[in-house]
Amino acid sequence: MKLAVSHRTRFTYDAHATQAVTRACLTPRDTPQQTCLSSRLSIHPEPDDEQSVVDRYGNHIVLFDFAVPHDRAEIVAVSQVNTLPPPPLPADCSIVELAAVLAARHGQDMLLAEEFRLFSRLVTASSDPAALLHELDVNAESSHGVLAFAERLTNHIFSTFKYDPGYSNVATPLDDVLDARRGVCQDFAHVAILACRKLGIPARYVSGYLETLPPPGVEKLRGADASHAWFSVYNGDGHWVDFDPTNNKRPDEQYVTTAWGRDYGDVAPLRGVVYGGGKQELAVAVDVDRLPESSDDFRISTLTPR
Amino acid sequence: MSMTTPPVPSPDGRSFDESDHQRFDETLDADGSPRAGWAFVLERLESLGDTGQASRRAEIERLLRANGIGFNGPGGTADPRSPASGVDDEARPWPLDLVPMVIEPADWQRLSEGLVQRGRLMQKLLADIYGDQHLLADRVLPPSLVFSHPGYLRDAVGVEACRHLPLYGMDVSRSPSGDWYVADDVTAFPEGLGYTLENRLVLSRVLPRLFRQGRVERLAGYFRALQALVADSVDRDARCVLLGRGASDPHPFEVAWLAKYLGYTLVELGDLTVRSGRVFLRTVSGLQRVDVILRFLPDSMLDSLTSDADGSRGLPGLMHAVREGTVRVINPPGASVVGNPALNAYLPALSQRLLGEPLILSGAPTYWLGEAEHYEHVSQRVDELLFRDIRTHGALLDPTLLDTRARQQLIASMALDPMRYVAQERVDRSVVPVLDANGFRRRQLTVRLHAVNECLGTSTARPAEVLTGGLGLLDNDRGGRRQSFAEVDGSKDVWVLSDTAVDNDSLLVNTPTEADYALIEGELPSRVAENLFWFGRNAERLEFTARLLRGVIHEMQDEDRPQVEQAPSASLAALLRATSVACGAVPGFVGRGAASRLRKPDRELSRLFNDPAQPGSLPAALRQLDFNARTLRDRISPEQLLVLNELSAVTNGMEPARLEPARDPDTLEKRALQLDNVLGRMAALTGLMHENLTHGEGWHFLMLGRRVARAALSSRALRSLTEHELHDSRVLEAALKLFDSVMTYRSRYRSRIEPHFSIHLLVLDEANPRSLAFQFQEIDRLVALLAGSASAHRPSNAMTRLAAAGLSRVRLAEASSLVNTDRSQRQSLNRFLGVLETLPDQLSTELTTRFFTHVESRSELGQGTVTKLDGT
Repeated sequence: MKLAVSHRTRFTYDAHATQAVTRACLTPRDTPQQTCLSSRLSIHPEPDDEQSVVDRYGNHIVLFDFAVPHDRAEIVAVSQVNTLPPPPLPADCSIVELAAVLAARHGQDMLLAEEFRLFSRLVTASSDPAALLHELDVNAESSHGVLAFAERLTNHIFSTFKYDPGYSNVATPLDDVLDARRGVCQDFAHVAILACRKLGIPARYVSGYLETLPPPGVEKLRGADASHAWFSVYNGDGHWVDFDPTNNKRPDEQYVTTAWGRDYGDVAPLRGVVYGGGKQELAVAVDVDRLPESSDDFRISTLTPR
Repeated sequence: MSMTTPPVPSPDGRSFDESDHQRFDETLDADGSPRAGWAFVLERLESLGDTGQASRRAEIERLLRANGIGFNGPGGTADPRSPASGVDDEARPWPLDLVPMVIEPADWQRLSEGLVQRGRLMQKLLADIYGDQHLLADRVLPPSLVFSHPGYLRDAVGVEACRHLPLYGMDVSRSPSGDWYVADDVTAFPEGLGYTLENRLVLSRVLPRLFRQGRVERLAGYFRALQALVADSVDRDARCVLLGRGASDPHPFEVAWLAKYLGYTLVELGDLTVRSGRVFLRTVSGLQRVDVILRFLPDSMLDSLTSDADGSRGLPGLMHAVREGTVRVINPPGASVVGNPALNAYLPALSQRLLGEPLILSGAPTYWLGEAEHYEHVSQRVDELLFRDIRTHGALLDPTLLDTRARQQLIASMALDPMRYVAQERVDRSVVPVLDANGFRRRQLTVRLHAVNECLGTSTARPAEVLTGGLGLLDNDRGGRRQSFAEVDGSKDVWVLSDTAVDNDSLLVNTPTEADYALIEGELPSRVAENLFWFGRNAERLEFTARLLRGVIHEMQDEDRPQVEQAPSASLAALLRATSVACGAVPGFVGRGAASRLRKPDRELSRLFNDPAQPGSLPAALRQLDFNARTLRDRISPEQLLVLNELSAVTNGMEPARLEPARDPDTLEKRALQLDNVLGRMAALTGLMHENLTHGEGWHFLMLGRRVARAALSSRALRSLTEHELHDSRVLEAALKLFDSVMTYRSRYRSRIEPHFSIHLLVLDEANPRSLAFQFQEIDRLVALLAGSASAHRPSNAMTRLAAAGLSRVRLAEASSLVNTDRSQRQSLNRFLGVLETLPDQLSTELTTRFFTHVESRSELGQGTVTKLDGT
């Protein structure tokens, strides 16, 4: 499937910002299930410097900075991606055996698995998913398969957590989300990652987009899509398998992957520091559109403040 | 090839004796006989006798204070105008013992070989961690041991510059069996280097003959190597800065002193900016490129934009500049990853593998709780071991010193996140003699050593250079606990003895003379310019306050009358009012109820003399100046420090609550003496400002601060003095005294004191350095000079206009019309001074916008308003 993604961000300042240094993680990476055909980042005002780098996990990062006074900045990422349906599930490995299987592995692939087994800034060792694990009747000694567990976990989060965009924001601690069992896709991905890491299963955070379709007969609203997030687990044998607890499914060809990391902090779409500027306002608009296989016709939506 | 879990070390291993009573005595040989080097030192110290020892200990204290080490204390706000409530906490004196730590040649041989070898090993480890990670991919080192360390910077992987470890240091101790072992690796930055230098400087001056005759190795070689390292492969005119933490630095002295000694500009994060992938210093003449950064900041505070940044501190974009090679950071970002104490469990095997040599110096037996076997072992022996928390860079935890709850928390935390903890066997450290007021005692010691690592690069190849000396850190006085660097309460100079005669040419230069007086040559960071400006302003403020108060005291001493409450003379009242108005100590002697306070001024005067919390008081002004001096630590010369310390001593022992009878002759005499002391010291400080500082850009800001403050205070005081009684000759005389112009008046006019002549001398005479006209003339000149040097920030018209406005106003005025007795005319002196009074403040605001706007508010992008990722 050919999908076009447009991700527009606008920062507005009530005073002149004299300098801003920004790190953007908005360019889709290639994965076994997707090929990024093209991706363009347009930045206004013209940055004084712009550099592309690849981070530790292979994500595409763009660093740019403005040294001129400005009262607004607009960053537009437009990408076209070819996606494939997910392959059948690879071989599974029991939770109890995973540690030994991993310990016997060598090489770069193992290093990433080790890295994503560790707790991280937003998914800390002190958070406790005991209730969740109890309900699923699983512990580190379970003989359940890792992938089978991830699938049940996905289903369990979907059915026992309430999707509630009003409940949380980026600063809401994971403990609160666990207590209230409310949140959005980012929280659900973090909950799943926490549960996996508590059992010693390498789990990573995946950021991207999901194509949404309006009800039949209704025209799709422009700018109404959003970025999305889910998680991925390691099967012990070189394979990472994605699960989406927000929609209770394995990501399919309607999904576009941008980047992955230990948690949201590694792959936030835009991070940066601004000097001066006073109060900031932020507006984001995302569109995901299906394109005819041959076409490159593409519309950019108008911005809607959020 | 992968390595198996290191064997669980045997707790009763031969080389480490746990017995409390068998600590190794540094002064004795293995067979219990005194060691030659120590015997020499101790005999000489004992021969000094009690008084000789006491006087040398006092001399140490005096020298430390004179070198500014007494300024060591908790930092404060970065705002030069207002000291925060916490900054005036008594500065902790740096504790240096009179007895040096002596290391004999044979011991030193082993230590320096061990240091160089371990530095090489750490260098190879770092090169692998930020390179191909073979050691991790092959599981020679557990990957999670590296990945869970806060110093592991993911953005540094693959960055060539981050694979080098130019500077390496370690803390060593001696176990009861007499073997040296490593207590800590110092890999991020050479913490302690400044104190090592300072200790040597002080002790070699206090014990000059002993130092010369003792064949003590000099320190200079290491510092030359360090400077060569900095100068490596950069242009001759490259700019190197020493990056410190600024006000939040637990050891501000250390970096300030090193910067002075090495001749690098001391900067804080806020002084730097990254533009287009290059690092720049914000100076009063615009942005200046920075080529090398010698950093004294932890890894987590370097760049807030990296994926492992700790919060929002740091210079965003620095890591990118390092990656691009546009700036060299020493040590490079991420270097602290090899300072992980957990590595001790793996280093012996790594040394064999990477160097093909047995490890010369190893750590105490170490367990990393990320290894299941180690965890099991440790959980059985919690109270027998010491713990290190990797998350907090190896902070030391002793379960036996924790209360029950904290101990339980530690155990729970270990179970929850075992990778975070390292356990080590308790090993006693050797004891050394320490001399205090009660004579010799014994305390345990750790020694911090430094080296410039060898470099194998083809163009930059150089051998390792070891610092032949070090910093002796004494254990906690009570309990014998090893202390973190931040809480150390005792230190020693470390004397490495030589087998052969020591070359005196390499003697450490006693004082960084050149650096002292090159004050402010070269780039002047905007922050420093602002601090200098306020240092000048507040110095003037202190002096003026003292002058006003001295006028008051003299007036009271002259008032020959019984101690009854009655209206003060017109001149005393005028001076009291002027003091309140000029110093801003209001209501004081003005406003509602002023009449009764004028009759009974005891309480108000006690406040002005004793209470640092009273705005405008003498101690408040002094405290402000002291605070300004601290912000300029690296630019204040030893002589200035001496004066500042003496000034502080003048107000020491004051009791804010003490109410003294203002007219009591003893009080008057005591206060007069105190004020004479303050003014004498201020004269010395002023002299030093004029005679010993380069009259460069920084000096211009300093002097502008003084002129601006004197102009404002003088016009305010004069306006208040002349408001009621312009024709009272006693009032005029008091004004002349305040402006130090009585002699000039007498010699010039040889007449009784007339308003006309007085106002001419105090306001309009450009030749009188105390007159208003002189201040405005100087302000005009200095502003023009700044306009010339600051091409990038040409002062606005507003600034030059303000300066010109003041000058032309005094030049156009006529004394006779200002003092005209006609009622309407008299108002004109008041109005005239009122306008002059506001100009300096306006000018100050203008300067701030033009030159000092370095302190820009800074926020995270999207802070507070970022929308949550919306799922669909």
